[in-house]
Amino acid sequence: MKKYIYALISMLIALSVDAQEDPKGQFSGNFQIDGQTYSNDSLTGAEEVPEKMLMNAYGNLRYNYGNLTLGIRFEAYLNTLQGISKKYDGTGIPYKFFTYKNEELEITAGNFYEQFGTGMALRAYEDKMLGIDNAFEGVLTRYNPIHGVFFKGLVGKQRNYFELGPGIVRGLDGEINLNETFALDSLETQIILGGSLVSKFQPDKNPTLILPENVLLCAGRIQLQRNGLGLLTEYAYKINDPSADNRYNYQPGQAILSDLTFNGSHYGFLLGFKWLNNMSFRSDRSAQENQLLINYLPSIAHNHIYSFAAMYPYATQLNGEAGARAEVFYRFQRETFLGGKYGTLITLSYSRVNSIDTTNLPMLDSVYPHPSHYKTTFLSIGNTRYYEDFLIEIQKKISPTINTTWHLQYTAYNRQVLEGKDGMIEALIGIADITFRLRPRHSLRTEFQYLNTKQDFGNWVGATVEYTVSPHFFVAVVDQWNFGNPNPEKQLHYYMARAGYTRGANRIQIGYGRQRLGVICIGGVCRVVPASTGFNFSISSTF
Amino acid sequence: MKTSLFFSILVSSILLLSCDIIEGDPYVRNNNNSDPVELDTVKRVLLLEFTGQKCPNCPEGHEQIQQLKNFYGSRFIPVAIHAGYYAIPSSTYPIDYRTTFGTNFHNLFNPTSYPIGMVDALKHENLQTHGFWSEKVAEQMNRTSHLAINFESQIAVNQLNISVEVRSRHAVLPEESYRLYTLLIEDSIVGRQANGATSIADYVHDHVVRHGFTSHLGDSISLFNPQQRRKVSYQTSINEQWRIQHLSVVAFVVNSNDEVVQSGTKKLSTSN
Repeated sequence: MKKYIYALISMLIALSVDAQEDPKGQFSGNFQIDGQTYSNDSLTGAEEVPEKMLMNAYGNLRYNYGNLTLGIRFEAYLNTLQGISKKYDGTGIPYKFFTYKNEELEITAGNFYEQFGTGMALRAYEDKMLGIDNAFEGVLTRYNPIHGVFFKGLVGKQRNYFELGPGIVRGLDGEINLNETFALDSLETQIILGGSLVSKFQPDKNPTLILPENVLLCAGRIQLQRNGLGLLTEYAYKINDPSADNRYNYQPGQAILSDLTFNGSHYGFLLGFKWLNNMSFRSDRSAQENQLLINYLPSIAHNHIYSFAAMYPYATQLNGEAGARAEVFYRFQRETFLGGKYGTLITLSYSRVNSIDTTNLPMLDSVYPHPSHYKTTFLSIGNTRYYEDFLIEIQKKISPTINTTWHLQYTAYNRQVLEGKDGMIEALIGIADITFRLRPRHSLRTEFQYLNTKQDFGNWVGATVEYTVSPHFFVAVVDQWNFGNPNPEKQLHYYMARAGYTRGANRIQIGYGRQRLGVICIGGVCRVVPASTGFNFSISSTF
Repeated sequence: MKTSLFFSILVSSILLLSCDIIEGDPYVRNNNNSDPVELDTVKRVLLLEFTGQKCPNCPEGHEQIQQLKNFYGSRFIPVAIHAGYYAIPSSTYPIDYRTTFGTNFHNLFNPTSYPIGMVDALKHENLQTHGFWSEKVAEQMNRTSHLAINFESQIAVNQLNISVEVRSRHAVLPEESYRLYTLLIEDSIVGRQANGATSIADYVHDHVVRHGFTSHLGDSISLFNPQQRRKVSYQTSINEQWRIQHLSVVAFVVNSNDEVVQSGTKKLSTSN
């Protein structure tokens, strides 16, 4: 491995000499360093760490020379920030690649990220916030033989912290844009058809089960676009894939995802639904949490930005869920009754996720469950509510210097299903976000949040005051008070002060305060962030 | 160029379509669970599982354990340590399965997810979720051991006397230090158990640690000569909640690398 990395670095250096002589050669990259100190805080349960300070850092370096691109990423977790798996502890160069590209063909050898369709068949990506990196190490080919026709093929193993998972993944994706390929210029509707085949291989070393060593997933999709109206639907089917995720269930998996969207000049809407059964697909059948996922099943729920609105976020249930979402926005024009002097934007959103309807199959005997565990019907909906939210948000400018956002939300969160803890949480959340433009480039943003619930930690109230001198400087103070905690000793203030400075491509941010125990979710994938108290800093730079 | 690439894609597609569909019963039942003869050194494999009655995913782990038990018989020794967040009793789950040994032992490794366990090891890095147990147990079954563990027990009035004898087949270097752990476990305890989004009122809890004869750090023992025996005796009062017919003693020996080199178990009702 080391030889491989040294050879790549040597090539980069050698090419950089040429690059200085050839104006076509170009380096680019970025750095990111995030650190935090951890102190004991008996009130929040935050604990000091033996290292006193933890840090995650990485640097990307890319070099492009004509048709050739080379890149590496160095990562250091010394040691890993709390909330991210400690299996990252250490340093290394887990990402290195070179790509050759001409008009028709692109070949990458080394590490790469890729997505087929919506990701239900295959998606390799990284998200440092969630500690996810399931990059492939292998070979990727993209081929564009004729106008509007695209093929992608890959073979590789997936990253598992600083190692590779045991399974080999083979994937092929094809897509055709009928309008481009057949020169249907007169046709107003854009039609794109696509299909994917993804197969994984993992040896069967289990002494008690006969496991499929090759597991195939196939998917088909259609995308239609006409003026502002768009439809994207993808269906995926997976053959028997017993794993730790599905309790070694041998029944095939299937999933469908469909989104109908419209974007007009004053209004728009989104109607979406998702149904899936037994669709966990990993390159190690024993892996859990966010390890070695081959596919990606996005959350159908609204993606919340405000901290109280996102306090109870939804995580996709890989073994089965049926969900739907409807969202509509309307922009009332200026000088109308609801639009007022500056116009008004109103957004309504509703999403709901239930279990799928299943009937348990009888055990084979007292020890062995039925290989399929249960039976279900495609698109069936079960009675258990996993998640529900409804929100109304009004964005209103009330004077030349004051912008406001008003947000009201109801959330129901099945904690038993989503976290394995008792009961359902129902919360009502109200938020007012008001920004004052004090003078050119100077603004003051205030944010007030209130969360009402009889469950979990009870009621919260929060306030943020943020002063920004754009584009260089900001300072903010935040306080979240858990005044409704059933335990009076835990009715704490979670305060935070932070400041940041940006100049050119460099950004530095420092902060100090208490972080409450919580869950961060991005796109239906979540991680638990433990309570912490201490200083934090973040440095980033791009070149 | 285009033709060859299309051909490659076609071949790739055919290869991709090769998939393994398992039809019928996927379980391997031809087990080899005959009990080893007395004083032999056949390797037994120990699983130390951290679990709790409120842990919604733990029945999945118990299912795995039952299948492994069914496959390996007495060569596989599971131990269920009820400790941590999910083991704290509540109004819905009133029975307290926690023990001083279990809580202290749990806190040595501080697991963050459940069910989780260590197969033949006492190391934090060996904590593995239940999906990994089967392969790890199979791997450990291929190992050998030079130790044999035997038990004697006597039940007096309200008193349980246990002696554990450890014998080595060959000489052990003086610098090799071992630790002996001896536990009392109980099978067939009926109580409520969380199971996914629901709970089971009459769940049968097996292999539950009831008492640690040794501390969570074990007792040091030394074995210098071939065939040398080390016999350690323990005693404890019998708790009225224990049912003698369902109790077993489990002992395991750990080397200086925190690897379990041998383990053994004996039901009290069948011991001498």
